[in-house]
Amino acid sequence: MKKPRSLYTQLLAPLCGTLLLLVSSIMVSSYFLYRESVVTTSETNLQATGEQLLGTYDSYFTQIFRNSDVILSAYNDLDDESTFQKDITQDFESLLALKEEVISASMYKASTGELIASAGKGENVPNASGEEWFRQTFESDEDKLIPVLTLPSNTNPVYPYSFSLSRYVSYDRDSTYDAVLHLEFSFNEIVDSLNETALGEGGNFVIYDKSYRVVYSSMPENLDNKIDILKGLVVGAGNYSVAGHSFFVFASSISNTSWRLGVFLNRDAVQEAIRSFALYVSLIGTAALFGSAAIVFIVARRSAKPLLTLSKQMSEIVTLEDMPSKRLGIVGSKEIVELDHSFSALIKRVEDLTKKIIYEKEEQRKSELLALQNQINPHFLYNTLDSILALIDKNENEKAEEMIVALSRFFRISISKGKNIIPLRKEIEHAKNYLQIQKLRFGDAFDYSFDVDESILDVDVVKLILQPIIENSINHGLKEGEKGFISVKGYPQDGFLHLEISDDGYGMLEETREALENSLKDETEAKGVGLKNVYLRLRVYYGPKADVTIQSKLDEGTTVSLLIPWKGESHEKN
Amino acid sequence: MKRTSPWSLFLLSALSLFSCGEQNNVADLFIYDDTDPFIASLQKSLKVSLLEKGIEIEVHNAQRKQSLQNSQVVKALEKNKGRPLLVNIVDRLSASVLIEKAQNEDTPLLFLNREPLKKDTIGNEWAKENIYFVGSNPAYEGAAQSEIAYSYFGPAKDFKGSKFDKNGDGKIQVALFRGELSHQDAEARTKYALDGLRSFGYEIELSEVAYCDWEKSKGYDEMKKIALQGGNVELLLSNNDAMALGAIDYLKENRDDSLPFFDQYFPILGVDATKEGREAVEEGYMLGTVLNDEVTQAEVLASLYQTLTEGTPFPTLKENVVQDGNFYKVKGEKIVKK
Repeated sequence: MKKPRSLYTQLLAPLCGTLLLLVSSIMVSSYFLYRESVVTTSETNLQATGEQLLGTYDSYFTQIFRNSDVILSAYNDLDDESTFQKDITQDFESLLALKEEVISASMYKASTGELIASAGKGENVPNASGEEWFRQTFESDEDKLIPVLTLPSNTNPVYPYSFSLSRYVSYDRDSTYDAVLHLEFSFNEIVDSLNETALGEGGNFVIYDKSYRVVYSSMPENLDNKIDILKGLVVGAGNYSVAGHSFFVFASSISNTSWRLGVFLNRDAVQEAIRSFALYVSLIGTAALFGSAAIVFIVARRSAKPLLTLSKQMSEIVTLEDMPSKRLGIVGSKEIVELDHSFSALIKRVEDLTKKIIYEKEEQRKSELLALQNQINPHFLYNTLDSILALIDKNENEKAEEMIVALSRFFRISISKGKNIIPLRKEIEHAKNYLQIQKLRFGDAFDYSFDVDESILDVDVVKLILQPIIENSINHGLKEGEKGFISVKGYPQDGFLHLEISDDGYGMLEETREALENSLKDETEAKGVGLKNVYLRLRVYYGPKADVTIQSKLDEGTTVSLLIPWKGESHEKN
Repeated sequence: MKRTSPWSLFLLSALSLFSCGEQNNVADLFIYDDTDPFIASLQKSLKVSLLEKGIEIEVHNAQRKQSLQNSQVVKALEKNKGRPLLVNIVDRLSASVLIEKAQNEDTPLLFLNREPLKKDTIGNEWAKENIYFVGSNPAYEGAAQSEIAYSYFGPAKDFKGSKFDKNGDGKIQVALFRGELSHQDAEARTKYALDGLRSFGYEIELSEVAYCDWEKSKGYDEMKKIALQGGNVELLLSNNDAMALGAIDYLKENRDDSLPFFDQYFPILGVDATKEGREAVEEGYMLGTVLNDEVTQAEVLASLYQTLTEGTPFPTLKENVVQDGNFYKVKGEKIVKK
C-alpha cells in the first residue's frame, strides 16, 4: 500500500497543478492567437504595401507605353516624307519637356536602320541595324506588337540606372516607312518621383528582367542574396531572412512588361512584437503563477494548521495518564472545532469506561476471592467436623458416616478441580449435600425440598450460587422453635433460568427488603455478604441481564430468585 | 450537445474526406474579368464541356489585376500541385512568370483567350509538354471584318464619290476601337482588318484610335468624345462586339429615324458574335461581326485538360481548328444580317 500523503501535499499538489495547467494553457494559447493575428495582419499590410508599389510601377509603365502610343499615332498622321525629321523631332522635344525621366528619344527606319530623327542628351548611333534592341522589335509579327524594354549594355556613369524602350512603328500608308522608336529612361528620376510609397524601415525593392538581371535596386546591399530569394519565389509572397533580418518578400510581374518587381519589407518589427509579447506573457504568467501559488499555500496552511495541531496533540496522548490533563481548545474552522469537541468527548468517555472497567475488575477479583474462600469455608468445616465428633461420641455412627459422605461430596463439588462453571445438576447436588449436613447438625430443625425442571439440569452455571443463599435462609429465615421448610425450585421462563430459594420464616418489612435489594445493586457499597457476592458473580459472568430479586412477607417467609439469561437447550459455555 | 459532438466531428471529417475526394474532379479556371461578355460565354461553354467529362470548374476572377491573378495562381499551385490550371491571363507579358512558377511546381498551364508570347513557351523542354494555348484566330477575324466591309462598300474604284465617302476625299476615314494595349487579339484583328482593306484597294486614314479595354462603357465614352469633337468617321472597326455596342448605344440617342442607321452614321463592325452583338446585327445597328467560336474553344480546352489529367487520347481536331505546336486557334465565321 502507498504511504498516505500529508494534508499539505493533498491540498497543494492538485491546486498548484491546476493553476500551472491553467496559467500555462492561457499563456500558450494567447501567444499563438497573438502570433497568428499579428502575422496575418502584418502580412496583409505588407502584401498591400507591395501591391501598392506594384500598382505604382504598373501605371508608370502603362503611362510610358501610352506616351509611345502618342508618337506612334503622330507618325501615322504624317503624310509628307520630307518633313518627317522636323515633325518627329518636334514631338520628341515636347515629350522630353514633359517627361524629365526621358533621357533621349530617337527613331530609325526599320528597313535600313537609318536614323530618322533624335532628341535629348543620349548618344545616338547613326545606324541602329546592329543593335540588339532594334532587331528584337520585329523578329516576329508578335514582337512588332510588344514594346521591348532593354538594359544598357554599359553602365552609364551619369545615369547608373537606366533602361530603354524600343517599339516597332508601322506606317499604315506605306510599310517601307515602318520605323523603330527608341526611348531612353533614367530610373533614378522615376524612383525619385514615385518612391513615396512607404516601404517601412529597411524596406527596399528590386526591378529585374525575366533572366533575373537587375534593372533597378533601391538598396544595392545583399543584392545577390535577394536575387537568389526571388529566383526561388518566382511569384507570390513569403518570409525570408536577409543579412540576419526578417523580410516579407513579394514578387510579381509588372503589367505590360516582361519585367518583374521584388519588394522586400522588413518584418523584424513583427518578430520583435511577437518576441516581446512572448516575454510579457511569460513574465506575467510566471508572476501570476507564483502569486496564486503563494495564496494557495497560505490558504492550505491556514486550513491545515488546526488539523496538524490536533494530529500532533493526539499523537502525544499515548498513556491513560495523559488524557485528563489534555484540553486541546483548538481554534479553526467549524469542522475543526467540532472535531475537537468530539475528540474531547471521546477522551471523556474513554476515561469513564476505563474507570468502570477498573472498578469492575476489582469487584470481580474480590468476588472471586470470596468464592474461593467459600469453597473451603473453614467455619463450616470446623462446625461440621465438631458435629461428626459429637455423633461419634453419642455412638450414632450411621449418622456420622452419612455426614462424612455428604461433607466429602460437598467439598468435591465446591472445588470441582478449580472449574468455575459446572452443570446445574452438580450445583443442585452441592446444595442438597449442604442441606443434609445442616439438617443433621441442627437436629431436624427444618425440612427441605427440591423441584427442578429436568430439562435444565444439564445447563452449565456458575458454581456456588445456591449454597450462600440457603445458608442465609438457615441462619436468618427459620423461626425459633418451629420446624422450618426450605424449598429450592428451578425452571426456565422467558429466556431466563429461574432458581428460587424460599423459606417460611420471619420474613421482613418492605423497607428492609428494599434496602437489602438496593445494597445488592449499589456499586459503591462493598459489603461482601454472601448474597451480594452471588449477585456480583452473576453479573460478571452473565452481564447486566442477570439479576437477583427478593420477595418477602412478614411472618410468612422470603424467596430469593436468581435470574440467569438462557437462550435454550444448551447454555453457552463461557 | 456534448454527446453529439464526437458524431458531428466524425461527420465533419467524413464530409471533408468526401469533398477532398471530389476536389480531384474540379478544374481551376482563372479569368481576367467576369464582366467581359465573351469571357462569360466562354466560361459557360467551358463549364458544359468539362461537365460532360465529369469535371467541375472553380472560377477565380482577377478583376483585370495581374497581381491578384498571380496570387490566385500561386495559391492554387500550392494547393493542388500537378493539377493543370486553365488561365485566361490578364497581361500576356506576365505569362513568363507564371510559366516559370508552374515549372517549379511541375504543373501544366492551359492558357485561353489571351495568348502568351511564343518566346516564353518555346526553347524549354518542359514547356513543350506542359504549356498550351487555345484561342481564336485573330488574323482571320481581322480579315473577315475587311471582307464584310468590302461586300458593303463595293469595289475600291467606285468608293470615291459614293454615299459611303462622306467627305468625298476617296479615302475611308477609319475609327479604331481597340481592346487592350499589347493584347494579341486587339493588335492582330486591327492589323489584318486594315491590311485586308488595303488589299481590296481602299485608301484608308486612321481618323480615331481609342483603347477601350474591351469594355462597352468605354466604347460609349469614346464614341461620345468623337461625336463631340466632330470627328470624321466613315467606318468603325471595333476589336469586339461590346465596345461596338457601347458606341451604338451612344449613337442611338440621336437617331434620325428617316434615314437608315448606317446612312445617318457609318457602318460598324464587331468581333465575337455575342448574343447582344447578333441582335444588333439583326436589328441593323451593326453591319456585321465575326464569330469567336467559344464552343469549339471550350471543347478543345476540355479535351486537352482530360488528356493531361487522365491520359485519355486527344480527339481529332475539327476542321476549323488550326494547330501550331501547342497553340490551338479556332477559326470563326462571318455574321451578317440575313
